[in-house]
Amino acid sequence: MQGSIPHRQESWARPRPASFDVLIVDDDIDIRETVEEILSSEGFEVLTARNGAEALERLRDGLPRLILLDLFMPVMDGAEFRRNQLADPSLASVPTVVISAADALEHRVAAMHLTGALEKPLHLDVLMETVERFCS
Amino acid sequence: MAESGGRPTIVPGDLFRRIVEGVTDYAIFMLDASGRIASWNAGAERIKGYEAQEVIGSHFSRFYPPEDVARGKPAWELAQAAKDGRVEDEGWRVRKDGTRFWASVVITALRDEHGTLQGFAKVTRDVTDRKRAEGERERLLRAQEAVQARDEFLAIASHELKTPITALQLQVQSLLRQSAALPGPPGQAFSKRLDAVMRQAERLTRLIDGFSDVVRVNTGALELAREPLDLSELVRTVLARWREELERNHCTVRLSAPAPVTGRFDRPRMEQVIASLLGNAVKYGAGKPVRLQVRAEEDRAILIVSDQGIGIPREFQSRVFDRFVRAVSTRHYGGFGLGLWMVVQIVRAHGGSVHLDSTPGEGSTFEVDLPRELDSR
Repeated sequence: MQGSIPHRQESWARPRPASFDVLIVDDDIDIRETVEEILSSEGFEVLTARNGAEALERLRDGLPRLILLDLFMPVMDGAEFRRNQLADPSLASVPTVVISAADALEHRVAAMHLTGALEKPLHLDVLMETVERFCS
Repeated sequence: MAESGGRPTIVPGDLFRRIVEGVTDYAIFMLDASGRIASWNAGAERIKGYEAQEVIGSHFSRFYPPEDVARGKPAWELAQAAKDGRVEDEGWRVRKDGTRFWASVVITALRDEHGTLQGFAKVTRDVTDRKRAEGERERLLRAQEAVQARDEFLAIASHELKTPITALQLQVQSLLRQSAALPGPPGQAFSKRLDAVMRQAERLTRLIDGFSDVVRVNTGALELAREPLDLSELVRTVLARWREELERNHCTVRLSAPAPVTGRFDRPRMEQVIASLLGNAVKYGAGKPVRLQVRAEEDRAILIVSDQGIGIPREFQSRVFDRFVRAVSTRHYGGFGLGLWMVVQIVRAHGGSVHLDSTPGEGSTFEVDLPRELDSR
């Protein structure tokens, strides 16, 4: 049994396989529920979190194929979540796309080393394309 | 007092009287203990407009506006000066011709060696210019603050409104997808109504985008992403997207775009320019045909949109490109009045210009002239 400890640590340090499709991180309940409903009805497995701290908690139980991240949230905002995510080797490689109404999204993508950004209001086709690219 | 050094004899009281009489920047005069004018100088004559013989003996309350006299201000000021030795005041005073000036006043009580009140010395200065400058500064400051508050509000409003609009649009689009799968006429009727909901959501989005544009321009964040494109083709694309809207408004568009007009432009922003000018022509075009022309003139691209509608009164023509301005009543024509302003912002960012030619009752022609930037890469 003792021998399994270093082994477990080693696997912790490496990216784990994804156990669900999409983690939606947004403080707005309407956005969370709408996106969750739409993606679930298309057959994707979805979890939600209300802020960055909750998202980190969710990620302890399993990894998604894609994180859809809001920027401005209470408790822990998108930028801080992203810093935490990148600092953790087991989470760093999960594709993360920001959905925001904020300005200068291109600059934020570069600054936060994001996979991409979708501007609010976004079209359903754009959302589906993005999710399908990472989750099919 | 004999002078030994041959210098002229000076009578201090007399010299002082002459100085006072000669001063023109200040009205300096005496009042008796009851407030009647006892002396008058050149400054008083200049500032108040009365000559000495007109005012000496009359009560000084004649210099105060009626509302101050009614409140008993002149008597109060004398009582204050008698009590404290002096009183200072700034306020409106009335000249002989009835006009008002902003006065800075000092009234000093004059007493004899026994302490008995003899009268008052009153020194008045006309500081209307200073007052006016302060007022202007104040107004300018308030106006700047108001503009800043408005722009901050727009920034917050546009950001906050985008979240519910996102949820609304996604729901409607998702319902549209599902309704497309419904069989037969009920499915079609459902889709048609959802289309109508979607159009309204898109309209809301455009209005909110208008706010974001104001914020972007104000913060200098209007950045262009130029790419090589054919303006003729772009106009056709926008027209195709507008076909339904044009049909609903019973509006025909005559397009003249005989040849490709290639250049380096920001695609979404140029679409916005075309759509704004087209929308404007439809809105104010009185249902008559709208003409759209695109052509290249050497290194320039020319886009012309003309309608035969209500036109723009001459006095408004220079202002239609301002923010939140429209030449017609807001009750009859909706919108925020941001469209043409944004057209100019985008065209200027491209290094171009917009020209307006309009005759009330005959229609308006907007001509956009853009450098094609063919050499820059």
